[in-house]
Amino acid sequence: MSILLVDDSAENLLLLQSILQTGGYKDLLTAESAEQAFKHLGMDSSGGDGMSVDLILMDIQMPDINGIETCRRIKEVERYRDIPIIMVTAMAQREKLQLAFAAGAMDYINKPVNKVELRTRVGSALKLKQEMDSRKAREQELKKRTQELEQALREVKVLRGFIPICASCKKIRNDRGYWQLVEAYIREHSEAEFSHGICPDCIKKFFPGVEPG
Amino acid sequence: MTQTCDPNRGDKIIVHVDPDLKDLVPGFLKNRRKDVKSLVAAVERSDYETIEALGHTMKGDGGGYGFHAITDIGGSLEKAASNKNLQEIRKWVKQLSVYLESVEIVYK
Repeated sequence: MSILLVDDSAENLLLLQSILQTGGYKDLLTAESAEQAFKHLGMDSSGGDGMSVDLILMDIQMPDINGIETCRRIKEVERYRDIPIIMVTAMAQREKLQLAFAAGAMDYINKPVNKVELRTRVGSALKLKQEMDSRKAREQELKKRTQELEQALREVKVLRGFIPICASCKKIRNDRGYWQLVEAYIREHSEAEFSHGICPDCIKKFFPGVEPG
Repeated sequence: MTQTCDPNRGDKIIVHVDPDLKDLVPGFLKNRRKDVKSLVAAVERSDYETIEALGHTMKGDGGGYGFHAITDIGGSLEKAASNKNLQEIRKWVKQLSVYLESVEIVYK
């Protein structure tokens, strides 16, 4: 899974990379500013698709666009709405955490970073992302199945409602206003097929000399 | 991290650092020595903004590398710059310089 690290301190980026790489997280992207992060995510003016990212670690205090604003802008983009963002903050910036959570951050890590804390939080966030991804995949599958079922139901031929039938010859008036033989009408409006025979009453009526079998 | 001795007496300060960071630490300390020069120049210009920014970065990065004293000095520099207190800033720049001259790393 891929992690984007955003921090204006190149040395903190190196530190985060080192701790995460030795912890087994190999797919890491780095950005030294909000603009670079937007570029990675395809949110800049180049209009690129952006890279696939599963987690973002974001420094709060950065020049130009700070971490809170960067987080808010990323969360505005539909395809990044479910990506967890962990804020990396110095103790004195804790008052800013409320703003960060309001902007869409899911967790925070204190600076200076502790390697056990960092790896644990990153592991939890990635597990959560994985579960969200599989839940979304299941929802998609369910939606697809429902659509298929709805389509199948639309295609099933059913007979219902009032059917105008001749009281004498038993022909049925179809939707186009023509009188049809009852078996032709039923065949057209259902999956039923007919096998023809003669009932005992008709044998008596039309073949009086023949004994019904 | 463990620190011993008094740097003001010229003693060495022993700092225990995670061996995973062995490749990064020399560069980190080299950059802090550059920071001392930048801080001295900023003090001469009374450039509190630069001092505050450098202090903030040191505060954030130092402890992660195992140098909690750099975090503490960085925090003090940031605060002194925010208060525009040149006397305090000079004191902490001196502390940083002495610390960097005295620090000895043990990877453990």
